[in-house]
Amino acid sequence: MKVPRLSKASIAAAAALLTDHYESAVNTSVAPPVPVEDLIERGLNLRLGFHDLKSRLNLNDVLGATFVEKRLIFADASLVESKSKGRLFFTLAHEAGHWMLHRAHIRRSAAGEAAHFCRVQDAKKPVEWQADYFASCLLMPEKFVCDAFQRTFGCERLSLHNVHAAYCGPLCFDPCIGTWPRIAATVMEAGGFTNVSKQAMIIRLQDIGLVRNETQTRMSWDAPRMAAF
Amino acid sequence: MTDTFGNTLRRLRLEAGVGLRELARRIDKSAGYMSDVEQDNVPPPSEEIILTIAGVLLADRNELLRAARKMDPELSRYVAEEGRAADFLRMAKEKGFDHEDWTKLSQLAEIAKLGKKHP
Repeated sequence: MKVPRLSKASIAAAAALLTDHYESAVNTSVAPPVPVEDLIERGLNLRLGFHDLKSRLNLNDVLGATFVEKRLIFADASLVESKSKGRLFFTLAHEAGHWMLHRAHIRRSAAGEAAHFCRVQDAKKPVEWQADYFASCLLMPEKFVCDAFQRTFGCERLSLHNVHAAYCGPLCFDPCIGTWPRIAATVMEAGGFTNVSKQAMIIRLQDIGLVRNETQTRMSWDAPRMAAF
Repeated sequence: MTDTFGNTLRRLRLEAGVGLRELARRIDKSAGYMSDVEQDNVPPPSEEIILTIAGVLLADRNELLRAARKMDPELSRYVAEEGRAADFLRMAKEKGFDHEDWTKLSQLAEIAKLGKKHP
């Protein structure tokens, strides 16, 4: 499905709009961990479901689905059963992004039922990137991320020049590419971001400009090296 | 006309501020099963589970049971043990008592001060 280009600012505004609407509707104020399931159910008045989508849709890499006419958002049951819930909440926020940003396109481009299935293989397509960015903004609002970052790392952004730490002990650590999971975990703990993954947080920190990778090494999971984190 | 069980359950769950996964966890069922129940993809759960759900949501058990077209197990036991209650209900069914008839009967029972708890 092709969608028009959207700026990061407009996607962030859409996420903020949903939060504002929810706060008014439920008469509460949202702070991390952002209650994404309730945002979907009571903020957007959509039904939420958990199904074995991989079997039902016969797609082995599907994580979520949005049914526009039925006003339904699904997450794959494997995400519910997973020990780490970060991916579940991100998927739900991602589907909320499709609802907020793309439901008219889904409706228009549907040959049959107006539905959109999110597959891992499509992650780099603009429609999925936009929903990912929406999820990131929704779950990790800039204000709360900045507050948490400043409380732990101060007002200067972290520029990571080294791949490996000179020191990485139990009390403190030397911020570098190799310690990105601890950088993310520190901000998550300070800000109460209990429903996001470290990977999602480090991406958000870079996007906001609080962490800058000055090396050519990517910050991503590398099982043998990252096992200690 | 009462709403479907799934719709009634969802409405009561949202009113109680309980998430779907949270409800599933508290009644020891899978989130997938509970979402199927709420979407009326599967029949309503057993009477016992419905009562457990009502307890978790602090909701009206009769509303949930009615939506499921099920009877409170306590009432089932009462009718089974009190033969005359079963006879009376059979008679009411045969005569086709309607809503107005049942209202009148309830009023009559009040006027006649039927039941042990009435002074």
